[in-house]
Amino acid sequence: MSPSGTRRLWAALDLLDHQIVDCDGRLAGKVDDLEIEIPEGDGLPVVTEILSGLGALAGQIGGEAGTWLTSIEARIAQRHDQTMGRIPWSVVVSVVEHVEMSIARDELDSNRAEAWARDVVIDKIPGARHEAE
Amino acid sequence: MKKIFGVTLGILTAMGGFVDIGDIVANSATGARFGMSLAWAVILGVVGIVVFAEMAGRVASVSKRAVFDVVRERLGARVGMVNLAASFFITMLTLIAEVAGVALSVQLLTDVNYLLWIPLAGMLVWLVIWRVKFTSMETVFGLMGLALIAVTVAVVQLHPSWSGLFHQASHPSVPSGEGTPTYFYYAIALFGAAMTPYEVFFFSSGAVEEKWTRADLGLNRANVFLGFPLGGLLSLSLMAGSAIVFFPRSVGVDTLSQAALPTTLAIGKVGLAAVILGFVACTFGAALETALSCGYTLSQYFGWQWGKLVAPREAARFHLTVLCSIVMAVLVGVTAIDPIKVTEYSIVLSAAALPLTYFPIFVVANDRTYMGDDVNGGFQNMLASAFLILLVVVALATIPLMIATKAGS
Repeated sequence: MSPSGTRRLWAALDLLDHQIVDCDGRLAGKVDDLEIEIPEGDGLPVVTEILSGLGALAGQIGGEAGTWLTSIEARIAQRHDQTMGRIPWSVVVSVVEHVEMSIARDELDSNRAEAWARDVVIDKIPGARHEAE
Repeated sequence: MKKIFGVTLGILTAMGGFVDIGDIVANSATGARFGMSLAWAVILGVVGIVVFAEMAGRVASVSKRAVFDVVRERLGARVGMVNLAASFFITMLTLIAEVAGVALSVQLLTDVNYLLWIPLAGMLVWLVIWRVKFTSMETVFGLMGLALIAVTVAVVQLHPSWSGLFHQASHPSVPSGEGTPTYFYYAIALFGAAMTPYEVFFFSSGAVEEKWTRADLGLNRANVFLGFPLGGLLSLSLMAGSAIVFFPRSVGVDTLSQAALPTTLAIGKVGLAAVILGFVACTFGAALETALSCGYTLSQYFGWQWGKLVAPREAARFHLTVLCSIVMAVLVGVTAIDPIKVTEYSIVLSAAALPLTYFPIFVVANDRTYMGDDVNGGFQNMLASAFLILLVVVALATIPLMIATKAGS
């Protein structure tokens, strides 16, 4: 994220580390980082993309833990041909309580680990498809 | 009917969260070694957990954020990660203690070695989380835990010198033969057992799961003001039972069967049955809460779907975390590691980590952008600030005291 005075502060406070919710009301990760574009001339910086997932988070954390997370992310990425979860600003519907988006979480790259846990482990256990009784 | 069962979240939190293996062990052991002279630490712990659980429940109801959502948003990715690592480790340690606690309680009933019960206990904990609805879970284990009232009845039946007990409690002093550092080490253990962080992880996540809103703030208060003091009463009863039976005879308590002995002496077999049922319900309830809390903390930090309202496949990473935590607890448990020692370490380390959990709750409970008009009042803030200072002092003192007293031995 490019630092840019007060607007950066606003974005950091109101977006960063907030919950992302998809169109079905499912929780779909956190706002781990932001992609900001600074227009040429005097215009204010604009948030163009929300970055979500381990890769983006590792960048925020930095230090040794960050390096460690990055290496984990890189491994998963190699295996799954994954890039960082990028959510274009155009699918963001509202940022009031949570960051709500108009697409389903399955469309996000950052949701692959969730899909893996579902397909490889949880779905194999009887009762995974039913709500608790 | 709905209203009556509405407060069962508080009762389960009190039964499984407040009174868990940590409280059973800590209160029985301190009663035997220090009489009632450490009762103040329990009362302080009850006031502390009431103040902060009310806040956590209110934050969850109004802002729809459970504790670890708040931790992540307020502390950011970096500090939040440190907090996550510490909280997860302590909750995991507590889970190991609780699963072993269930097994030890069943051993009292069956005389079959607890190590054999650990895998079964872990399996059942997982099955309940996998299949049983949140509200049924809290009603069943909350109400079963009420059997522990037998401990309070027993204290009355033992016809103690009330003025003597009250004098011990109201004029706290270090009994002869015990060092001052040891005394304070046990004070911290009792305080940590009362304010264990998973209680608010569970309580606030439960409030979000039950879709509490501003309209439920009364219910939140009822849960907190009923549940935790009830837990405190039961803890003090365990302490008093030990203070009456063991303290005058200088007998130490280091097994669960000793913790049940005062009740058996007073009301016989029925008492023993009730106490064992209560122990099983409380430790099982706490095992559910800690296993869920492992999932809650991790999921809420990373923003994964969590909770029992959706089918498990919709919250795959959450359920995977819970499953792995339980497997891990069982594996560590069956190594025959001393479960009472694990319990003691879990509550003392909890005490050292208390500010990590309670400070972010305090900050958000004062933030109007989250809370609107339901921010803390002046009295609440005064009380909470005093506690935060105390929590920091406790956190700084814990590890040095642990080393100086060789963990209270």
